[in-house]
Amino acid sequence: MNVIECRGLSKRFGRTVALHDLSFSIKENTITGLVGPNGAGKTTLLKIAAGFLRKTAGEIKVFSSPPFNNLKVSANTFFVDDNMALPATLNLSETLDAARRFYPNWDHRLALRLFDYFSLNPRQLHKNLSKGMKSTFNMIVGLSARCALTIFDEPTVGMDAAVRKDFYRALLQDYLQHPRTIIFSSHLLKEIEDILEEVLLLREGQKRLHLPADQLREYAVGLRGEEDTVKRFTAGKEIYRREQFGKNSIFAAVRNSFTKTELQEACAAGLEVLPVSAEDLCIYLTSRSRGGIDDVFNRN
Amino acid sequence: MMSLTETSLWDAVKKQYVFKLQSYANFFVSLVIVQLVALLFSAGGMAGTSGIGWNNILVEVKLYSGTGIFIFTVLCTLANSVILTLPFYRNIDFSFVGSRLSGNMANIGFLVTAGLFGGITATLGSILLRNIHYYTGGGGEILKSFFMITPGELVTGMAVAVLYLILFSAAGYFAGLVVQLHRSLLVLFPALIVGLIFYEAANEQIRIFSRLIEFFVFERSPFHFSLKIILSASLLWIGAILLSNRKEVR
Amino acid sequence: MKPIYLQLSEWLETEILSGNITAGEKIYSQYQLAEMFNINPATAAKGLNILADEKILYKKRGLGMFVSPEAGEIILRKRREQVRARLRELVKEADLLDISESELITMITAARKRNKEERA
Repeated sequence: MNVIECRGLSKRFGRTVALHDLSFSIKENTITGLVGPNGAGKTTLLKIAAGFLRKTAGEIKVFSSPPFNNLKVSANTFFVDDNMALPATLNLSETLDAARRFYPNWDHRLALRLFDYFSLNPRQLHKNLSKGMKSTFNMIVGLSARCALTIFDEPTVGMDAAVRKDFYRALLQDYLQHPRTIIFSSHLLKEIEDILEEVLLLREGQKRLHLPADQLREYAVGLRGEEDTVKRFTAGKEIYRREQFGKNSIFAAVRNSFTKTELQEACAAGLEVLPVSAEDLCIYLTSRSRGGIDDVFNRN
Repeated sequence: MMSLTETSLWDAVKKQYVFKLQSYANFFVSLVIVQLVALLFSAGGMAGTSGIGWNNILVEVKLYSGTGIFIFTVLCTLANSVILTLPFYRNIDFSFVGSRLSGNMANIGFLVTAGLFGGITATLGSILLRNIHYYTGGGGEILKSFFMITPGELVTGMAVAVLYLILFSAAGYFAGLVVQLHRSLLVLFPALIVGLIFYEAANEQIRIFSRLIEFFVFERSPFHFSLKIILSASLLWIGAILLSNRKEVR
Repeated sequence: MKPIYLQLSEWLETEILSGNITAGEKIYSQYQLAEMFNINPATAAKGLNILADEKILYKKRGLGMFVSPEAGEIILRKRREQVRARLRELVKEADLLDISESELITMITAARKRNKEERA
């Protein structure tokens, strides 16, 4: 069963196109990473799925219903981002108690344990928390709510590396014990790729890639060496990235559709065959120019 | 699969209402403080002091009334109802379970509760004011025939106060949402209201506000009065719900 | 960079080879592996399925995956083939550098000796 289904989904804000003809589906009980550069439409997509924003065209269904202003979707979806609005009058422990009443699956023991572990002060007011602490608190609420669909939109803003690591671990552990559909948007793909099942990559409001996360690392391959040789081996392939390297050599990242023998031949011809990390792949696939930032400096 | 939870509208409204009562307890506190301030002002007997000179005898009539307290309560209620429509407060509705309808209904519930609270405290405040005058100002000067009120009158007074406050909060809530339809309305809407008041004051033919006041204030039948208020407030609430039902949030 | 599910299946092979998990024994579930390696359970399942495809593991319906009796043998065969392939690469490189066969064999003997000393 699919928890989210989109067909030709588009969203415009005035004259700005935020999402364009987006089609994909998200399977039940998967952790999906939503990645893409700033302005790719990640937050817009998530807010439409949560029922906050209205679609402009196309179709989106969450739990088989249109999500906008839908109480059933709201009851089964938790949306965590860094500007969650909470009453300024409640302290953290009162806020937890309030949140608890809204969600029948709420795990209060988990909430309190995480609260303790991250040394949050129950008497503190939410508005007085530092950015990282706020994110930590929101994450605790999001996990403890145990909603069938949990959306984390850039949940690690301000968290230090250690807290982020703990968070990913907590997320995975809780997911293993209570499988549910989780969507996680982040710029830090390297940190989260291992716990993801799928990756949905957006660029300028459109889908660029949607595939199992563990295939990302093999999706592309980098060849480095003498320019003509690289060109010979990459002929007819889409080049994701091309960088000048030294006097006569270049680096080219292409779709990894080589056979094993072809790669061996490339080695024998003096080329280096380099892996392209998932993070680099996503950067290559979403950047505006094939040369990257160096293009800015190499214009002569 | 995590089983999907079923939530009825009524359920969501109840939860949001309780959440609001807990979160916005400070609204009630501010109301009481405002009423106390009003009480202090009124204690001097500022309202309606008039002197009549007649054959070398000067009769000074000092009107001690709860009107001041009530006006302050109205202003505070209006402010609170507008505050509830601000984006930050509306977004709180969408941090947890809720729809636009449930959020509005919970807000209406909250404002009705605040109206009940405000109406009762304002009436009690004006009784307190009478007693302060009776014991400090020398009871002898007070027209006794109007001083004592029956429990029936008390309840009627409270009910009238509560109904007015509900009407005002509904108007404030509606106005708050209207103003947010477009940035320009933030200036245009109040300007329109104030402009109309002045226009009406200057022009005898225009009678919008005076008609409104006649419609609500000069109603003798308690039943018709209640009906008028409740229907008007309901219209404003429905308007508010319609205004915000298609609105994007967060 | 090797995909995680390959790293995982290799780790499981090593566990079987070293006797930490014996033939007939139940192997870790995808959820246990996900927790151990901090990875998504779907990825862990992929690692297990590779081994099942190679008949190193077998599935018992509703019970999970078990180490097959011939697992050790299959792994050994596979690993030997890998050594042979790597050796071919090595020899190719040696040829390129004009290293004679006897010299290569001396190098291998020396390397074995050093490893043995390091282990001792």
